[in-house]
Amino acid sequence: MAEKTTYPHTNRPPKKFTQKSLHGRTRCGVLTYKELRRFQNFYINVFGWDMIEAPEAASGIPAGDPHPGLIMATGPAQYDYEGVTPGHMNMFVHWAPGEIEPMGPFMEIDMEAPLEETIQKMIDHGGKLILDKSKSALAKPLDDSKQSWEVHAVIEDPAGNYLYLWKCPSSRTWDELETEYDVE
Amino acid sequence: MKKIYTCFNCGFPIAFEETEVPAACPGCGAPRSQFLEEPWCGSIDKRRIHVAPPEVDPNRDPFDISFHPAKDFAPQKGDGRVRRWVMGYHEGQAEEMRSFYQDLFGWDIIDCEDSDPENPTMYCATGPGTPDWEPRVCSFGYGFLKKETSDEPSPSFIIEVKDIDETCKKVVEYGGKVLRERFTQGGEDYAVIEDSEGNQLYIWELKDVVPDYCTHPITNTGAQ
Repeated sequence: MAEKTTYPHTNRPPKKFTQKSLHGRTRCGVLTYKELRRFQNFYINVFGWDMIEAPEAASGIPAGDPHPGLIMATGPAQYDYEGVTPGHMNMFVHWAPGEIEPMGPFMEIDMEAPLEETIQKMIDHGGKLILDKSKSALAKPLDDSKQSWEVHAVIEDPAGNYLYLWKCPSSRTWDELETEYDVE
Repeated sequence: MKKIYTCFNCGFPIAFEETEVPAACPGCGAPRSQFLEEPWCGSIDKRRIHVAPPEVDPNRDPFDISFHPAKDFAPQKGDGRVRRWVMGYHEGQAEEMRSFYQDLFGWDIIDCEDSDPENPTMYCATGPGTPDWEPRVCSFGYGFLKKETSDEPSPSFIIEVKDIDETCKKVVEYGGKVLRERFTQGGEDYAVIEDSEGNQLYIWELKDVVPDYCTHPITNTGAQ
C-alpha cells in the first residue's frame, strides 16, 4: 500500500519553491545526549536508527573523541547519511556537557549571500544570535571566511526556539538528490 | 581547476576547486589521500569514477559508530522515521511567528482546521511538496508551529511508529518514560514520550501506511 494522504486536509497544494536555493529547508533535526551508550541503546532498540560518528568536518570534533557528534539515519540514507527517500529527517546529534539542549531544526540558509547579511535579517525580524555555549554547544561567533559543514550559527526565534543554521559550501553541484526544486 | 573527488572509503563524490579541497571527506572523515580525482565534466552524474561503497555486514555491532553505509530500512516499513518538527510559541504570538518564517525563510504556512483560530497550530511547508503536503524531495521535513501547552512538548519532533502501544513498552524497557498515553488530534493518534536523556518527543501511529520504498526498492544509492 502506497503512502496515503495523512494531514492536513487542504484544498490546495503547497506553493512552488522555484528558487535554486535550499534556504529555509529544515534538513534534519538537532538532538543532544548525556551518556552515549545509554542514548544509543534507546534509539537503536526503540526506533531502529543507524548511526555513524560525524566527520570532524561536520561536527568540529576530532575522530575518536569520547563525546562524539553523531549523524543518525531514521530512514533510508545515502552513503553520506543524507536521506534518500522523501518524507523523513535524519538527526544531527551532539553531546550536552550540562543539561540536554533544546531540540530544533538544522536548517539550510542561502549559500550565495554573506552569512552576516542573512543573520542580520533574522535579528531585524526579532531573532537573536546565540553565542553562549552554555545554552548550546554549537553556538559560535559568525565566521564566513571558511567553507564548512558545521553549524554556522544558532539563532533563537521570537518565541525562544533554537534554529541551527548551515550554509552549504560552494562544492554543491545541484546534481545531488536533495537539491531538487520546483519548476514553474 | 575544478575536479570531482570520489572518496575511496565511502564512495561519496564531491566537486571542488583544487585549491579548496578539504583535508578529509565530509561524508566519512577519511583523509584526503583516499580521494580519487577526475576532471570536472559539468555534472557529478556524468562522472566516470564510481566507487562501490563498503557492504553492510548484517551482523555488525549496531553500537559501532565507525563509518558504514546505513542499514536497509525497508523492513521497518517507516517505523522510526522522524516525520515532523514541532516548535512552540506563546499566547497571541501566532502572527509574529508566521511573519518570521514566511518573510525570512519563504515557508508556506497554513492553519490546521481543528485548532484555535486565535492561536492556531500552523503546518509549515519548508520546501517542495506533493499535493497532499508531504515533502517531495529527500532529506528535509515539514513541521508545526503551535501554542505552547503543558502536556505537549515544544520544541520537539514527531516520530512515525506502526504501533503506539508496542513502542511505549519499548520506551520504558530501554530507559525512557511515557509522558502522555495515546491521544487523538486532527484525526491522528499520538503519544508523548521521553527518551533516556530527557528529550521529549511525539510518536505518531501510522499503522497501515507503508512507504513506497518498501515495495519499490531504491537502487544506485550505495546504501540500500
